[in-house]
Order: sequence, then structure tokens, then C-alpha cells
Amino acid sequence: MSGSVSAWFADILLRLANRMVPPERGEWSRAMRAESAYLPESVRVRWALGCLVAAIKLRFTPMPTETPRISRWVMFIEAVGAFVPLAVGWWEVTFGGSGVVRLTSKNIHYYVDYPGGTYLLTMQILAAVVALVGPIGLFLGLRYVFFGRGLANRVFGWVLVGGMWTYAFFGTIAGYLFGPDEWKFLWDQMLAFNLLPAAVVLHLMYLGKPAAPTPGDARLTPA
Amino acid sequence: MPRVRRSSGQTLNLLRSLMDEPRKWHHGYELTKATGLLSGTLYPMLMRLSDRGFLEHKWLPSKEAGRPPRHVYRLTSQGAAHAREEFVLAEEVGTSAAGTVSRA
Repeated sequence: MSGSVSAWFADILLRLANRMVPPERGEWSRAMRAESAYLPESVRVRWALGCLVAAIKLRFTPMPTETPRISRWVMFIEAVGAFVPLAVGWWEVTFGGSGVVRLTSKNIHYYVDYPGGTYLLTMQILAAVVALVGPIGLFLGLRYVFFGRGLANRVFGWVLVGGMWTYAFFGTIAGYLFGPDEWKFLWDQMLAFNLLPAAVVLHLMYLGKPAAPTPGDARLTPA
Repeated sequence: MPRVRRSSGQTLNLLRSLMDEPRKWHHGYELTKATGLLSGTLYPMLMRLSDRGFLEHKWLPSKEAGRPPRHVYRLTSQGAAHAREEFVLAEEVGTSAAGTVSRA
């Protein structure tokens, strides 16, 4: 690697490290970066990689657990983890091979004739609506990541959460009453596709409340 | 009985380097060369020592034009006492500073 390229690459790594370090450790981040100006060219990239490792350690070690007002990087992980599976599920029940948009009178009859099929069909059609929380939540989560805006519209937030809870609650009861004989309540799916996304929507609503930002938010908020 | 937290071999190495010239201000690159630690290990250790009041640090203006001030470090008197205590403990268990001791 030529000198100018390695210097450029080291600088990129150091800038990245600087962005990742929690604000209360900003002085140390500046120290690592300043020190790099005194290093021989040959060790600068390795030094910068070490600084990036240190920044990652610092970012994850003191993860704040006492406040739900988190940094945007944490929300990125939260939003992707909670909403991507639901968004994929929404796409599947809507546009997938047996998705709602592909329903014809023929396969509707097939559903209806099957014991408990009406229940399954109804749940799928409702899921195509309720699981819209997936793409919407992903959008809202990424909006927080990039622009620092939580979900300020509380009515909309409660519609999203209420829709999911209602679907889960009545869907479960209806499953026992009208579902197919082999119908089972699946806790893991309930957690992944309902409770977790609903919790993150509530979190985004909390973040949408006006409040003094954390130092982490302040650091990441565009001027 | 409370668990006694012992310094790691890497921390002992760092303490030893800092104790070689306890009143001198050391900079990060010098410490990486003296201890063989990488920057990704060294700086979190320096931060921990500083958090515990064992290390003082300051910005030293550069003598060369165009270079930023440099962050430099030295042990506090409390840090020096801690280092001596750790060296004694390490010797008691027959472990050199370069060896591994139960992780702090």
C-alpha cells in the first residue's frame, strides 16, 4: 500500500473509530487520533485498526441499560432485528407464492373446504394488513437512526401496537375455537413477529417524546 | 469472602513500563513499543487505570509545527502504590509480569 493510500485509509479508520467512541470517552478518541500523527507510516494503518477495535470495545462495554433513550446505532440493531423478519413475513403473506394478492376463487374454495381453512385464510388476509408494521417500523427505525426522529404521532403508534396485540390476542383465541385441529400456539413466532416489534414501536414512541437528548444523541445529531 | 481482582499479565506489563520512569510522561506509541500491546488493547487499559485513579494524563503541546498536541500518561502516587502491590502479588504466585495471571 503506498504511503498516501495507507494514510488515507488510516484516517478513514480513525474517523470511524472517533464516531463510534461514546462521547464521555471523546478525549481518549482524540488522543488515539492525535498519536497517529506521530507514527511512522508503516504502522499507521495497524494503529488505526487497533483504535477501531478499542472504539468497538468502548461502544459495547458500557451499553446503557438504565435508560431507554439510546444512541442511534443501538436503534439500528433494534430496528433491523425486530422489523426485518416481520417485513419479510409481510412480503411473503402478501406477495409470496400463496400470498394474498395471488388468491383466486379456486384456492379460496380450497381453503374454505379444508377444516379450519377459513380461519387460516382470514388470519392470512389480516396478517397482510397487520404485518405492515414490519416495513413501516423499519422505516421509522431507520428514520430515527439517520435523522434522530422518534415516533411523535402517538395515535399512529398505538394503532400499530394495538393492531398487533389485537391480532395476536383474538387470533390466538379464534385459533382454538375455529382453527384446524393441528393448530398450535407458537410462542417463538409470537415473540418474533408480534411482541418484539410491538415493543420496538413503543420504544420509538418513547423516543418521539420531546426530551433532553443523551450525550450520544447529541453527538450524532446533525448540526 | 470478596473476590480479589488481580491485574492481567498485560496490565502488569503496562504498569511495569510506566514504573520504569514513574515521573516521566509517556505517550501511547512509546507504550505500545515497550509493552508489545496493540493500540486496541492499550487504550482501554489506560482508560481503566485512569478511571480507577491510577493514571493521570494531559495534553502536551507539540514542539513541531503542524502536529497536534499529544496525550501523555504517568502513574499517580496511588497508581504507583497499586503497581508495587501488584508486582509483589505476581511474584508471590511465581508469575512474571509477562505471564498470565487471572484476568482482571
